[in-house]
Amino acid sequence: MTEAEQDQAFSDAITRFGGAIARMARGYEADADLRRDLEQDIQVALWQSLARFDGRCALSTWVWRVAHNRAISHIIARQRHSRRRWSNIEDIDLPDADPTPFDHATSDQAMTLILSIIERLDPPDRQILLLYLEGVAATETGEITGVSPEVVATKIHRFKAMLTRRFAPMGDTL
Amino acid sequence: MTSLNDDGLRSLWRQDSDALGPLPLAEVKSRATAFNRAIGRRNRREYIAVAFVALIFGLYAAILPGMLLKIGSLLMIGGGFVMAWQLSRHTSRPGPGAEAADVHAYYRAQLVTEERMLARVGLWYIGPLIPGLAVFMAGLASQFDSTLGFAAFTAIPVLAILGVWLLNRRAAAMLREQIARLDAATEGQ
Repeated sequence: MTEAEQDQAFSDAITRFGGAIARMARGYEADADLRRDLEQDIQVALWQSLARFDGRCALSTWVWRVAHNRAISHIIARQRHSRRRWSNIEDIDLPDADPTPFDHATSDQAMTLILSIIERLDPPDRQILLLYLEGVAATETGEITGVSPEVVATKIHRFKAMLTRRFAPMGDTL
Repeated sequence: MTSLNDDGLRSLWRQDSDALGPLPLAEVKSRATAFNRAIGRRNRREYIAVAFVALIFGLYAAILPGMLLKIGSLLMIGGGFVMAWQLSRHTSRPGPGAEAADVHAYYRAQLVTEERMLARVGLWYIGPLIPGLAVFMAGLASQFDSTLGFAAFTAIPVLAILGVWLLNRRAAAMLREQIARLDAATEGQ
């Protein structure tokens, strides 16, 4: 790929996925300043990586992989200082609390819960949920993450079950 | 509030999110170059630290009396060079192409690299300094009137080294747990 093609692919990627990258960064870094640094790091990583993009996978798959992998490097480096522990989604238990019907919960409450689940997850599970929230199909999520679509579906089911227990105890379906 | 289904959750996820602050392309390229320079700068800092150690122990080797102190000083200089070389090898970041791998492969590779670096810290970080430190301390033994005083003096660097080694071993064990959990999840597919 020539540098002009690399520049064009980068511009296309930012136009198509810029908003999604910003939302993804929320799932990896809570601090606003550090999140801005992460977003900029991702853009640099993306431009660098596109020199090797050969079209063997979709541009979206490539962008998601680079963005998530750079974010993983970011949180591993941060973990050295904080020693925060992560878990598989199967090992996460939400503390007991009175369930609130989803219709009555505020957006802030729901987002806080979603982010609190995501930030406790091992990077592979975190990536699956963030891609689900972006509306990426299970098949492509499997290709991006390196797991089968069945595993993707299981993880998403577990996530939604956790939300249901908290927000939709009266049978709101997912 | 929307209902708790796929569309509802995705709509919630998208609302109130900050837009990406796009970097101008020239800035992206400048930072990509700066990243390579940063590695050079980091290595330079290590070389400066080693040069400082070499200067101090070079002076010791020249002015301190006794063969043990001179040999110990020279060994410390050699150990410092080995440590800096190993540090630059162990802490290099993966190239841009590596980041296009799937997350399982990339994450596992990151954890394994980090675990190896921490688990072997005694070999590549502490080890090269031990011979010089031991000989240097042996050379200092004659300066102490009592064995107890020398033992107390020796205990300070020994405890510091032991602390560094134990902390790194503990961190490596935590990483091994993460790798095992990742492998178990992969095997379960």
